[in-house]
Amino acid sequence: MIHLQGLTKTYNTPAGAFPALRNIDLEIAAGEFVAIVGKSGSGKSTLLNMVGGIDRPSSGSLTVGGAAIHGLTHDELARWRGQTVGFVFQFFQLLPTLTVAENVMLPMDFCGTRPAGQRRRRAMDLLDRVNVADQADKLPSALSGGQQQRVAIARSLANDPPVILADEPTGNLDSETSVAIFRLFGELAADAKTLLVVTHDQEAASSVSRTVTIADGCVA
Amino acid sequence: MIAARWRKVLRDIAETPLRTALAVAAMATGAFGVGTILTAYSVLTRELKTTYSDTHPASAILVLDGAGLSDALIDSVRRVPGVSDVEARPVIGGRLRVGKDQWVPLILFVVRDFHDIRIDRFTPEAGAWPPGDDEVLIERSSLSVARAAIGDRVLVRTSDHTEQSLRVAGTVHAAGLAPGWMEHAVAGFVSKSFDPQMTQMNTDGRNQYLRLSATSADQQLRIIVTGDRLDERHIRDVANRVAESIGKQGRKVTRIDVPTPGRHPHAAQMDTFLFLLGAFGALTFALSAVLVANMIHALLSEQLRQVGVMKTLGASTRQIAALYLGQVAILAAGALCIGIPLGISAGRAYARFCAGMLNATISDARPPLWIIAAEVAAGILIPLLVSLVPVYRASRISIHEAFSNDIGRRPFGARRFDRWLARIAWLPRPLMLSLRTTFHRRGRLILTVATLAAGGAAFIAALNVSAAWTRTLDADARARRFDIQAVLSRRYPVADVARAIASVPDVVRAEYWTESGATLGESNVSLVGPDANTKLLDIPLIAGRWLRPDDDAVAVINQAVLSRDPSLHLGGDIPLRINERTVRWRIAGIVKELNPHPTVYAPPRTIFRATGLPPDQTRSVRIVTRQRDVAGQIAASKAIEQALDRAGIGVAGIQALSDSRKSFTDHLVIIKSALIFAALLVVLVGGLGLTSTLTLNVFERTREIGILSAIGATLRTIARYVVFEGTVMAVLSWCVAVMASVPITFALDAATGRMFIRSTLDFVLSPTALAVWLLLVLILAALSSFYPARRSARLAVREALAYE
Repeated sequence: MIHLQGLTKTYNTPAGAFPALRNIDLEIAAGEFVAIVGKSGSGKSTLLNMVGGIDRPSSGSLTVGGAAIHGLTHDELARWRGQTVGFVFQFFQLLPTLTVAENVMLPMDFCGTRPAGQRRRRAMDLLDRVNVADQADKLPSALSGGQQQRVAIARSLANDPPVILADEPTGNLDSETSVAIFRLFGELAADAKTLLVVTHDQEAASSVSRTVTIADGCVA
Repeated sequence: MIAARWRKVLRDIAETPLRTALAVAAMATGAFGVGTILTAYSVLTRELKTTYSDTHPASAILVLDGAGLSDALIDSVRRVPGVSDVEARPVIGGRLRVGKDQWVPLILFVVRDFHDIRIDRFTPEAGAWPPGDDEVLIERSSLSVARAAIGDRVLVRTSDHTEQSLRVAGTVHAAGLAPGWMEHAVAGFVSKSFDPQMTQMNTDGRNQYLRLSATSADQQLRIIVTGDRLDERHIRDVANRVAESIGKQGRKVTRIDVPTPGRHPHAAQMDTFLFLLGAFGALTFALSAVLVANMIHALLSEQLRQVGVMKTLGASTRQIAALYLGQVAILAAGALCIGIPLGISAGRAYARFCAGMLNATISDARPPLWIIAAEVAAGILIPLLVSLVPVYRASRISIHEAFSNDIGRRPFGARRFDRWLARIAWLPRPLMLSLRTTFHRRGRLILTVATLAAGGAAFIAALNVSAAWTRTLDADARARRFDIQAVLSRRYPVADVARAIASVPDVVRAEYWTESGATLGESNVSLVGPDANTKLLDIPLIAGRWLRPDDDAVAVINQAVLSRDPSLHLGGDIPLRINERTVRWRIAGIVKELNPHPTVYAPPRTIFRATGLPPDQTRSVRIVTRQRDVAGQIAASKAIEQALDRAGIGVAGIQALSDSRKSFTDHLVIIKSALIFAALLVVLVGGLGLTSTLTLNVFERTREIGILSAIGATLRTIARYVVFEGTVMAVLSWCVAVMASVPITFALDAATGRMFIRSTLDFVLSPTALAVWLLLVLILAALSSFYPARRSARLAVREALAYE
């Protein structure tokens, strides 16, 4: 599903060139639930950003679901991302002025994946699946952190993407909620979604099918 | 059903009421400013033109010698090819008494048939119409000058001392005449019983009234030509044919006046005034455009993270750009709903005010539809246009940049200026932080400073130009060192006049100048022969020198002469037609004076020789009084009037210099009103812009303020820090405004000066303007930074750090 070959990312900073990722080769099959672990600054998030098309590699090749995303233009990438990848962030990143349901409808809106009349029902189904359907018409600020992250997961599933990427999804949650979130991820993996989760949470990481450790920009 | 993304737009607008209000207010004031000026401009341009052309202005006015204009003569003129219409309207010059020994200039138009006025028309305003045999209708704008009301009796005296009491029967509106209050003269209309021709016929005693003397009247024929009425050459050709035809009938045309076709007598004022309106309209427009750009910049920089999130959800550049352009359009439409109606009513009110100043009437104050359409289009399009680039940049931003929240911003220290700033270590740390932050966010800084500076430059320029006019007026007053100018009804022996004047104890000095007229090409010019050793005139020279006692056949011209004939130059000759002969005098100097009338100064002997006037006679006296203040000048005027009266010397007019200065100041009222109006408008738009810009500036920094609170900054420290930053921007903008106001002032000084006095004004940088604007930006900067800073500092630290 995800195929990285010789992937390198170097940032040019005023202090000189900084290699965030060096020559990474990695293969992830469809339906795998992979945890990426490593120390702060090791390059985990950079790797996730490359896979999600948020950042571009300096060299190497990267295919996700058969698409060579290192060659896509800005807008092709946006469309591809909306349909292929669902994102979950540490700080949830829900749009503060949209209700919970509207936040979930937004990706369908951008990608035009479903007829406008069916989007709300789809959003409600997804919210129901992550157990926050009763919060659908509230603004994100009225929800707890765990609830917000559930909404973010529902949103990531809006266009039914084959790949879910999560960057420290439990970094801002208590341990009980963290476990519940990872359980939700496990269910998604069982549904044949490919999950790539960057995490510090050792306990939660135990529920994954594979762990990839990154150190100093290389796969350890 | 509205798509979720559009609901986000509406919700963003609704959920941030303060920011929305600021943005809408800024755009609305822009729309208001532009709307006001466009409305006033379009209504005035249209109405002044129609009001004037509706009077059917005469193409040419022919002055005949002798008395009377017979119907046969008028009919013969009507038959001259090229003449469309003709009307006889004798004009009687004189004075009207407004107090004991106090008179104001009066011009009486004799109308033969009040029910058949076809040329230079006027309309009844109040009271009776037509006037009876011993009645007068006063032009509405000069009623206050006459210090009379309808029904009052006024005493009128013609230049040969014939006096008559007339009853003010009513008022009329003569849109073709310059406003009386501005000219400091009264215009009146009387019936044909005053016609010198009628007077001659009514010798049988039927006429019980003392008639005004025929010798004081100008026999004037007004004609309108066929064909192109705006073609001055054509008009002159027709007028010359008329003069020839009259000549064949044994009468002589002594003067032909061709008023500039299609131009109101105060057209120069209107042009200057409309030009200023237009110029400040453009400045306000530019200001509001920068303001809108600023708003959008602020809006977008707050939304960067959300742009990033939407991109991860699959939003394309075009979709995001559409969202923000949509938001701008909604805000702009809201601003238009407020700004345009207000702008139109203010513009209409201002147009009415100005029309009153110009003695015009606004019959239809509605702005043309295209103006409203243009305002709506500009009000929506300008914000969209100025947002295109920032919206495009923000929509193209990579997700990575969006999350790191530093679009295109180089880290502090990357520029040489940053490193220089970083070396300033002796300032208190919060101030250092303020300075560095201010200069780090360069795009923001440039936009903020540009907004404030555009307003400041316009404000300062408006007051500068106003000050330049005042200074020009002062300088002109200083150049004339006499207090009173008396014009006699005819030439009197100098010795007699001098004796009469010498009997007035208030008089310190008197000079008897020679005055006459001549033509230069087709323009009438005044000839003035000041006393050879005059100490009463010190007009600033543009080139060459002033007259010397031993000069002969030499002239000093004013710049109004130069503008009539630009081929004239220092050292060259000026060809003047005097008594049907051409004389050529060498131009020794060119002077700059406020008087827009072309004047040629020459030695008296040169003028005597050319005109054949007797050297021992005079018609005009310049007098220096003991008490030189306004009260002294008025008291002396009365005493001189009495003294001349006792000596049997007729007075055509006595004018104190303070009065002529007042008259000129009154001519400038409308121009100054435009400048003050513009300045106020700019303060409003600029002030609001400044407030909203700085407030948004602080909003943008909520996160940073949260960090400062987290590391222990008190409310007071944060307020000081933010207010200092606002002050730095205000002072910077002030410096830019002062610099930018210089070329604007120069341009406006040159343009308005050339339009009005045919010479550029002296550049003045008004200290008041500089001080007022500095004070204004400082106060506004402090206030508009302090309140949002306090709000930010009161936000809980966590809230501030999570602030989107």
